[in-house]
Amino acid sequence: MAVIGGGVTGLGVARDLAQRGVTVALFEKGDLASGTSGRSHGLLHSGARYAVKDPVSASECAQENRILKKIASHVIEDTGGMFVAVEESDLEYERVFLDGCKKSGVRVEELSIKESLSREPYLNPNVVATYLVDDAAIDPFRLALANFLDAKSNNAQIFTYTPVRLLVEQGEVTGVRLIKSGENVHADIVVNATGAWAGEVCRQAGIKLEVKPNKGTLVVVSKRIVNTVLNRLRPPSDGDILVPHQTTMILGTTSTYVRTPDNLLPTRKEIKLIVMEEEKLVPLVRRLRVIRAFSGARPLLEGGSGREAARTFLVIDHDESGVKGLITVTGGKLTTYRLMAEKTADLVCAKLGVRAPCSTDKEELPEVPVKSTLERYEALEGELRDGKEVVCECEMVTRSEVEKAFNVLAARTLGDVKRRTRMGMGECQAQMCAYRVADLMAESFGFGADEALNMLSDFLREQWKISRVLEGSQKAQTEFFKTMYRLAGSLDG
Amino acid sequence: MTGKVDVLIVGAGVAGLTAAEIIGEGGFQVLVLASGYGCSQASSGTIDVLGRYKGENVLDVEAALEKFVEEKPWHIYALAGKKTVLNALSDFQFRSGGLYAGGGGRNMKIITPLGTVKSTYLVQFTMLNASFESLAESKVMLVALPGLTGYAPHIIAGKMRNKGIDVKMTKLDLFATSPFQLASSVESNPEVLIEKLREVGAGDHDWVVFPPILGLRNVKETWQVVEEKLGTRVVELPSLPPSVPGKRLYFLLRRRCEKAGVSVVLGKIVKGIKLMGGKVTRVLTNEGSYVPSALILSTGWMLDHVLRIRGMPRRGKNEYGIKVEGVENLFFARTLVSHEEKIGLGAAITAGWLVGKAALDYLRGRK
Amino acid sequence: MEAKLLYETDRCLHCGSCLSVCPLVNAGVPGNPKKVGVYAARDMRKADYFTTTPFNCTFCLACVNACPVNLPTPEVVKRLRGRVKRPDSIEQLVENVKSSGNIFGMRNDERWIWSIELDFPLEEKIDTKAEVGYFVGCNSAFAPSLSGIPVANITLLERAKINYTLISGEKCCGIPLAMAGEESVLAEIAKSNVEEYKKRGVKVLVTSCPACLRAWREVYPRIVKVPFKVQHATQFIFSLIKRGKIKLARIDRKVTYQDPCELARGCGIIIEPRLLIKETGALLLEFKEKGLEAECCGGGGLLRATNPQTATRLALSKLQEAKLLGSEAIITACPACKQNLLKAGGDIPILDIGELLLTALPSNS
Repeated sequence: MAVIGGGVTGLGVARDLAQRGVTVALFEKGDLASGTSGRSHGLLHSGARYAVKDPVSASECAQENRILKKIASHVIEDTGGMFVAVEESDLEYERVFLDGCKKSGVRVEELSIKESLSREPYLNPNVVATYLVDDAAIDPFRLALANFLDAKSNNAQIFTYTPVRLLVEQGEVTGVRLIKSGENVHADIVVNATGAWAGEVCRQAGIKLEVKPNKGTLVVVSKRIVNTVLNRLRPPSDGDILVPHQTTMILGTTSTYVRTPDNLLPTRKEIKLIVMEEEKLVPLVRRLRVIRAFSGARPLLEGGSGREAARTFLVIDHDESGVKGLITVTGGKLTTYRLMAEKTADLVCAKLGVRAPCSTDKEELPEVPVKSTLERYEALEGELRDGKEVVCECEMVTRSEVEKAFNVLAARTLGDVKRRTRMGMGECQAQMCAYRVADLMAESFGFGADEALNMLSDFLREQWKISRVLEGSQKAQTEFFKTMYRLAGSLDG
Repeated sequence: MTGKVDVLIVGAGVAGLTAAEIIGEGGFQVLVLASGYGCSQASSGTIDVLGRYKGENVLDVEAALEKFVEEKPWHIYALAGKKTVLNALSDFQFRSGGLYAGGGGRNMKIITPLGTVKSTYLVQFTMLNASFESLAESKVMLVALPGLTGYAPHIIAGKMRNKGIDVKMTKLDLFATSPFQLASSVESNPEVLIEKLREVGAGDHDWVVFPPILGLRNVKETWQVVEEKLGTRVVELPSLPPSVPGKRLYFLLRRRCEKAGVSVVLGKIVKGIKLMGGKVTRVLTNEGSYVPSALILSTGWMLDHVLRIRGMPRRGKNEYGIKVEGVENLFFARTLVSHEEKIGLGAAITAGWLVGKAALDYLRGRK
Repeated sequence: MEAKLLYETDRCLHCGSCLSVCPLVNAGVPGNPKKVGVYAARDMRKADYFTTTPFNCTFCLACVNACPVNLPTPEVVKRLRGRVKRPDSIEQLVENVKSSGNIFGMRNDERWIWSIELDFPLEEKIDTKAEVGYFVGCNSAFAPSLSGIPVANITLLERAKINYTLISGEKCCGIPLAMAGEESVLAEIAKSNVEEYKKRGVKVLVTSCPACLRAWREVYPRIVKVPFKVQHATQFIFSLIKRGKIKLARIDRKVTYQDPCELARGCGIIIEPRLLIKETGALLLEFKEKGLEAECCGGGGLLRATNPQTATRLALSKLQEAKLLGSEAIITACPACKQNLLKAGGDIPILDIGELLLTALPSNS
């Protein structure tokens, strides 16, 4: 069994199959959760957002929401969610919204405006109606890592930075070819879990699959001033969700079709639009600093356009169209990743004749040996007292956690450390900690000096990619650190 | 604290204080207004003039500057002219009381805090030998300290090994909450550091390489004591900001300004200026207003405070000079840091010098 | 206010300049003005985790000066102090001010204890009408070791034949409360203090405590109109000397002046104290850091109540430096500085400027 794609879906499939005793190898061309998973809103949907247009997706979300809160509580911050009507015109949507929720089994509870404001003092005081739902914040990186650890403990093999092509022999997919080494790995079935890249992979086997990559831009602001997921009560549109994440808030999103899911960068216009829209929910947002913005590619299926397109998923057995040995899973959402994995694994097992039932909905995901920032903040007093080495001061990442990222969690680059520990996701955007971690890599992980410096250069280039669309203090700060690295540190790149 | 002054300088960075000193020495009353200490301590303390030109590392600064000013006639170096740039820098070095070394029209290659190599013009004398060439073929001890994170010792050590230097890395058990604390405690009591280094056999090495912690105010003496007592040669590497060498530079500039009779007031933010008859007649701050005969703005390249000052005359797109057309007593110290060409404090010193001289001429002409 | 702090601290560039000047960090106390101030404010909810760190701060204002974007870090610390569990000593202090109007919880009629050291009766000056008011401040009024400060300053006023008044209803200036993060009774205090002096027709209010001065200059005007000028004693007495109202004999003494943080960085008063010292003919040996860059002695921010060891250490380094300079006395212009330097021990006399001037007063005039 081979899985292509190391996002949450691919890892979920690997975990599910490994639990059922199937021998699995997973190949990812970059790092775990470095594609769409890691560029998502980190929102565990209650389903309410899709209740009107996409009731199937809504009930899937509602069901998975409950399951994930049980099996993955340690990577979820159960903030609860609110749907907020800020203009009278939003109220026209109220009725259909409530009906939709009722039909798809999404729990909704009305909240008086006074209660909402006491719960979230920074909420726009002119809101006209608020409803409570079961939304929560989920950390996609730690979710992926938990699946990774679980799969590994059940003997799955997971290879990052291993791009592959399908191995096609006489119209039949027989495994994958590792592009870097040229090695062939044979597999009875290959699962294509590459999300927005699924169309590209299918093309390698001569299959035409319509997966339209849809760009969604998200904006990270420096301070967390609300503690509940906020949704605008209106038909899904640009910039109407706000998710508190650890010490920051993520605002989003936008929706535009793009030709390729690779190298997506947010534009200044998108950022402005999002901040302008979110300001209607939380007026203070406008005054907070935008520390980063990123864009991910949703794997949308054919039918409808953009916001209208279905958010449900598809598991396709290509045997039916004459290509043996390949199953594609695509579409869907972060919230439904487990269900997608379950359905895929069911199909694989049916084909392989494996009888073991799915247990991913009951078995809790394992602990990730790296703390979340909020947990670190709680331990802060102790850390300071112990004089433990804090590497990243914004997110309080310690030296030992960086070590764990390398030793236990298969990190290979600075970016990997960032995804595993949140190092550099805070206000200073890795400017102070990047060289410290690079030095640590030279010290403890056998990196040569030049290798460590190259990695630092690459990482900073990636960090600075978006600097031209940022403004104000963040721009000044980036300029300062660019000078620090390039002038004082004479680092080129 | 308001009223009439000869020259008002906004900004207490390297450019502002350099200009202040020149004008103060010229016998005029100078007042420096600044929101804070300025960014000199947030620099690494080396004077980068022109480290790279057209992708090539520059060693002969004189020759490279000549081409540079021809190509970029709007740059502060071109406005000053090659000769003035070099004069300003040697004057700076001369007045540094031995803190700065190097110069003479040529760059030197020093090891950066990240283990890379940088061409720079003036360094603090403790760093004169901080190059792979000076350390080549010798036995080196590289000192690392827990809690001191302004440099990447393991990468530097790796780089040294790559160059065939026999380097031993020593982690000293000397906890520091900040490099400034360490530098100041080494200065007041160097014995602790020396004792720890003796224990690990520092004396058997040709060189002991430190991060910049050998003194904050009295560097020469501290450095000498450490070198003598260890019985080996001692060298400091630069560090990333906030750095001890940057703070040494700040102290140097402040002491020099004090000698020149310059007063510095911190906590002032300039809100606006009033123009009348082609002159700046009044400067408004968050607390009080001033009536200067000349106004120098040296607010730095980074935060662009100038843009937020009300009443500031708009400059044309191609107006890069130190003056604005039509306003006779307003001067700009534009520094223009460049990452690509490795231009740093060299531009600040040049700008300060140029603006200082220009303001001085203006004031003398009026008398 | 909280929202304003949130986005004001948002301007932090993470350059670390504040680290280079923080007296606590530079004394080896773990912590970081960047962390304590700015990061804690990023999410006020998380402030609850910082239980003691906000109390490791002397409000010396050096970080504000060093900051390229002038973040109000001390304001954030004040805010945090109000949100975390306060040490018992601080709770007690707040309670004292609320119940008795002074930080020590003493009876109000005990506030004139220091006046027994005067060689003239004070009674007729209390609550009278006069153009000059003198604000004693809790520390000077009640701490036995500081009684020299009001005694000296009042004697100087007397010698200059100034018609002045003191107020029996004087209340704590409110700065200790603000420093403890307690702002609840501040407005009440401000109104009462202003009213008391207004009633007596005061045109200039003089205080020898820089913290009180800042309360009068910066805090009160936000709450109530202050209809008179407020000056530090050094400013007022210097003007008296300039006008020839006080004549000084020359003294032969080597002294060092410790700039109080609140006076130098807080109010920008650095010249008058030095001119006063010059007037006495004493030789002024300066600390290596002086004026706006002066290093804190550790007496501010209630540090003596929350972390006496560190407060002592900071003071000791000052005493040591003065000794190395060959100084025979440390002169300061702040009761908190004087107290902290005294408590650190050592044999160098610690004097308020007023006390120094008193030694230079010709005895017969």
